[in-house]
Amino acid sequence: MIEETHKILKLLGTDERYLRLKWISASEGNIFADEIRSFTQLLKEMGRNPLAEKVDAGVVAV
Amino acid sequence: MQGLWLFSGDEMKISKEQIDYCMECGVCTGSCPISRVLPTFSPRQMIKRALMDRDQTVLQGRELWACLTCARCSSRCPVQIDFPEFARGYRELARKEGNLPQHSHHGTLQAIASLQTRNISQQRTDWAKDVGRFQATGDVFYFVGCAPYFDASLKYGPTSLETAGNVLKLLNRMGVEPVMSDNERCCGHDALWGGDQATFRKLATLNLEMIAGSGAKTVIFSCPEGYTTFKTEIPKYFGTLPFEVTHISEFLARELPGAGLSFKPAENGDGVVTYQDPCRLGRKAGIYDPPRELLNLIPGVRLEEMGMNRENSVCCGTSAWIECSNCSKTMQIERLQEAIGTGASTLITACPKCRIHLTCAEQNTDITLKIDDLYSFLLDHIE
Repeated sequence: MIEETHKILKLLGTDERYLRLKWISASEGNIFADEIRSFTQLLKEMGRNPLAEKVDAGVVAV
Repeated sequence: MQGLWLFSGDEMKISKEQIDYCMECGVCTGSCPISRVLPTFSPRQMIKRALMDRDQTVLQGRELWACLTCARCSSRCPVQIDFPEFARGYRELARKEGNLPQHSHHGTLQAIASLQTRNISQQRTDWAKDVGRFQATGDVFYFVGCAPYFDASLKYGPTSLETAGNVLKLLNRMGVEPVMSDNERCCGHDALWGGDQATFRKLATLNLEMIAGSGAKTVIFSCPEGYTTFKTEIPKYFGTLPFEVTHISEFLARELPGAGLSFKPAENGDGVVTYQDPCRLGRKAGIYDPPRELLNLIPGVRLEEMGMNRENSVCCGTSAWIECSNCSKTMQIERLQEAIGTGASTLITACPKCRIHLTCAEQNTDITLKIDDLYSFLLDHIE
């Protein structure tokens, strides 16, 4: 599912790195924390997700 | 609440007079492929309840979403009651009451269409750069449709892009380098027939701007849904379009015989084929002969018609990515069996969704009928 969604994001012109999937066990607290830190850092660098834009969202009447 | 026919004049094609003319002959229900599988589904009863008895519970029911809008009923109705248009209009009202369809494929395709109404920079022509030649501006535009998104989100292999790529190669072989655009949007067909007119209008506006910017005088479609949306539906809402809308089968049937290309005869038993008329190309657009003429161009190909062909053809079982159901599977498997019954080794489709739906149904059976699309089959038989 993630692989397909990455393909769709690419077609929509959106950086695939906005979507990340990792499997982390409940016993791997440090790995989880590192992952979230690096993801948060990356999201800050990449800036706002263009698809999150409220303008022209879905059901705008023309 | 009043029936839609009273307050939405020119957008609803069913007039009160037409309803008064309904002679309750039941041809609609008798023709309906859903009614055959689901006997409680009755277009006749639905339209009678909604428009004659003013019973608005139709808006709360599930049956409104079961209709395939395949037009088998309306094409046979003696007083031309447009049941698909009734379903479309009532779906808009049902949505407002919170009655929503069951989305197939987790709603992915609806989400993709909705995201395309936003200010995005797509990369939807990347696939074509290695396949063929195309331009940024020019007289002829090739509207590819949702093929790149279908192949990315569905698990049936590169079926839709293979078709689009072969259409591009055919055009190139005939000396046409069409315009293709990353700014193309979904045609809005599924939004429209799913009762989401706002999304349809937004997508159509963006597509019309994009085509105007390309300078194209002719827009060629290979997807029957895109074709009929631009040919019939968009002009209803936006007026006459400033370009010609052509289906690739019409274009090829007209231009291919004189294009100087030679055909390879069909061999290895792939000469006997049958053809699935897509609802949108057949009953909705009246294009029955061009696909058949194209098949007849190939030496050694014999087209064996299914009993239910042309205007009597049966829908591939699902429409607008909603309500894929037991009805769909029963219809699809019956259709595959009908195709096998003709003695054909290949079922030729001319719509990406017919191909996807029939391929999906076949995967769960021991049927081994080859399912191919018209343009790939054609290109395979050109030297």
